Amino acid sequence: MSQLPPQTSSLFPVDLSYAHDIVDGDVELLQEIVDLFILDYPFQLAALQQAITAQDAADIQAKAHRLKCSFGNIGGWEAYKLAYELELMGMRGELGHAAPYFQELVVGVEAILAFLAQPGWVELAQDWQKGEPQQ
Amino acid sequence: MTRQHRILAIDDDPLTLRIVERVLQRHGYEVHTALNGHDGLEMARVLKPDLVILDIMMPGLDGFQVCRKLREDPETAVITVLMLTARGAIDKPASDPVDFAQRVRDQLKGYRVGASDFLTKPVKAAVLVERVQSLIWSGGR
Repeated sequence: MSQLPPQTSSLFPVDLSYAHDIVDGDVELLQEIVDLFILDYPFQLAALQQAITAQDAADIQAKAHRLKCSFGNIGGWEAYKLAYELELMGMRGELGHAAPYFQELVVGVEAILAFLAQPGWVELAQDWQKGEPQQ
Repeated sequence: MTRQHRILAIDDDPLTLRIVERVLQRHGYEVHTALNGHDGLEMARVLKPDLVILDIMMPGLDGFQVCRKLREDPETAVITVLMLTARGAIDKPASDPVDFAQRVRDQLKGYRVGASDFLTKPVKAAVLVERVQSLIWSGGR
C-alpha cells in the first residue's frame, strides 16, 4: 500500500460500461440505484469519518467495506479503490494514513456526484445500452 | 404451468438488494428481500424460498450465523444458500495477501455452515442469473 493516497480522476469517475453489466442494461434500474446511492452515501461517509475520528479499526473496516460495495454497484472505481484501502487499514489496525485517504475519498465522491449531476449522463448510459458509447 | 421459483435476498446494502431483486424479477423469479439477518430468518421460515442469497458481512447476525440458523431449523434446513461477499477488490483479488487469505477462509467457513456457492460483489447481472439458475436446477448440489 502506498504512503499517500492516489489522486482521483474526475474525468470518468463512473464506469458506465461496468455499471451497465451490473444492471443488465436496465437504464431505469441504473437511475434508481444512483438515486439510492445519493440518498445513502452521506450517512455512510459520516459513519466512516466518525470511525476514523475515534480511531476504531474494526469500525473503519466495516464502514469502508459498506461504502466500497456502494461504489462498486455504480462503477465508481476510483472511490471504490480508496474505500478498499481504508478497509485494509482497518483490518490491519494501521490507521496512520486513514485521514488523508478519507479526504481523497471525499474528493472522489464529489467527482462522482458532479458526473451524475450532468443532465446528459442518463443519455450516455443509454448510448452504452445501444453499444454506441459517445464519450 | 410451472411454479415461479422463489428467492429471498438478505443484505444490509439497499443498492445490492434492489439490483438483485429487479434483475431476478426480470428473469421470472419471485424475489423477496430483507435488510438484516433477523428479518431474513423470519421471512425464510414463512416463505420457504427455493434459494437464499445471503451477504456475509452484515451488522448484527452475519451471513455465517444466518446460514447456520437456517440449517438448524427443520423448516429451513434444506434451502439452498448462495453467499455474497465483497471481501477483496474486483480488479486485484490477490493484491493483499491477508485479505485474500481471509476471503479463502470465508469460503471454507461458508461451506462448513452449509452454503452451496459464492459470488463476489458487485455482481454482473448475467453472472448472477446464471448462478441462480444453476443452483435452482441442481437443488444446490
